Amino acid sequence: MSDKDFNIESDESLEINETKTNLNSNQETKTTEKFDEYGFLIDEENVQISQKKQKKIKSKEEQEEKKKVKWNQFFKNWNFYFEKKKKKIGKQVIKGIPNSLRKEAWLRLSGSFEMLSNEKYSELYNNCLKKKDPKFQEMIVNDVKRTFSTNRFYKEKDGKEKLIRVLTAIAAYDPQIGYCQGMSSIAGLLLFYMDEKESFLTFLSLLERYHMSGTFRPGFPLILIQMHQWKRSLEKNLPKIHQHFKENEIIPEYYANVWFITLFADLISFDSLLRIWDVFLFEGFPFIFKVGLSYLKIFQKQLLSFSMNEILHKIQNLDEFSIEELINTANSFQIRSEELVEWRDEFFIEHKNISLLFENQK
Amino acid sequence: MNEEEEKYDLKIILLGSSKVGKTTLVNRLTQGTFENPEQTTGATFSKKKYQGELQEYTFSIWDTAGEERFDSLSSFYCRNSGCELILYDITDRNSFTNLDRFFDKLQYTNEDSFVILIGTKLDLIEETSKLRKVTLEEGKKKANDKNSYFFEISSKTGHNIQELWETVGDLFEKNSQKNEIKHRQDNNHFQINSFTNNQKKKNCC
Repeated sequence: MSDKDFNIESDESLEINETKTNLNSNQETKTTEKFDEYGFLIDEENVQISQKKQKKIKSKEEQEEKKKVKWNQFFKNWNFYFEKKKKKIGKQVIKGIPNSLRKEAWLRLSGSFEMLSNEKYSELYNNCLKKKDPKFQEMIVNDVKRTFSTNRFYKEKDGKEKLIRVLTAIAAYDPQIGYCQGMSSIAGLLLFYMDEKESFLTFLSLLERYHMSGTFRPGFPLILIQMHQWKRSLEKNLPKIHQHFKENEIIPEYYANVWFITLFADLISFDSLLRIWDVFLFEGFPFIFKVGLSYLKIFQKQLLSFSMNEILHKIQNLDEFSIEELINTANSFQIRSEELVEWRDEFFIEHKNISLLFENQK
Repeated sequence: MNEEEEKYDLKIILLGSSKVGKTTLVNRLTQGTFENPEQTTGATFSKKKYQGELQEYTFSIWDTAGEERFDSLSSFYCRNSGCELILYDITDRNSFTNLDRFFDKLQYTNEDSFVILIGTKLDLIEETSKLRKVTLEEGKKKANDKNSYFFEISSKTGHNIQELWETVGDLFEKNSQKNEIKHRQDNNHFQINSFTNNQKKKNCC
């Protein structure tokens, strides 16, 4: 599609900037259960923390208003900003996208906004739903039951059914990939903000533009490459940790592959997850590397004093940090695309079969 | 200090098809709770103390994703594993006929590791035995064929959970006693001829 069409679309969309998400839909609840601002069930023990959080949120409101002005400015002339003033968008994604504009921002950052107005994709969702492969149905239904299961949206039948349909369509889109565990958390996150078709197209964009078809394909070829790249980036950026892990026989496959499969969905608190996704959708996989490095750097001292069991335990409980610190530290690392290519080719030399697999895909 | 702790550590890995109750068993063992967990992607790591006859040990428990596609990743997790818990759901025939996929993983584990085959969700057949799709005898026979120990359990009611854990601990202690004797013999051997022993060590690592 041409740029002209694109701009018309984006002008119209100005009117719907403040979108209601599925996270704060006012569904009737049968019990006295309490939910947080994102619709997650609150443990009684955590209620106090949540009240504290809410105070913080109030003081942030002013800041949020300023951010909204900036984002509306971007939306008005998205192509211009995305192509010519990319750094401005980059600065804003690091600060975090206002929740009410998140959907509009994510659609544009991921590229699915363009797909939505492209005829080629208009019937794709319905067509894929019709093509559904019964082989994956049971798995999808099982996984949906255990995806964001404490959230109000997915406690209801309606939310579950929507997620089942989106995953069914994704599984039918490319039979070589089908359905794979991990997909439900990602689609589940998108569906909090988007409708079914938008979630579906954004997922396709992840598969294609972000090359995640290689993530989910049998054998996880992209994950294997990324684990090698991760090892090299750790060696380069945090050599002490790299050495310490080596001495303790900790390989990246023990802890880092899930970061790249689920993009932290299900692994950390929800508001942290959103902040990581704000930047990931803008920057792509390099940011996942940076988040991993950031986390290890923040806890470097502790990790260096630990042996294998404690290290793995620590890395898996990714929650005791301030998200601002995590994002800012992540942003201080540089992962250059040339490096990633160099490390990927290094991996290909040792694993010719996987390199061939990638050739075939292109 | 760490070295000593590591020496007595046992790595336990849970294998089995998706939805058979691996994470539920881990939660029952480590927290004593029963709840419906979120899906496992990759592997999740937890630990639990075991009070042995003479001392306390720390066992690490590795929970894995059950979907077939994740098999290529779970081989990594089997490294240095000393105990494999292979699970199937007694109300799901497929989870039983699929078991060889997981027994194949044993090539990646420690040579002296022990295997326990576990039929899960025993509570579901308490009300109506119609739901049972794998008989107790079939389970026992499979375990026997594969040279494994065998339990039917319920993570919901806690049935056989304590027995299972004690068995893991006992087998581990027996194994480490054996290893200690072997270790001592190796050390004696070392004094006699250090050169050959060095070579031996290299081979076994």
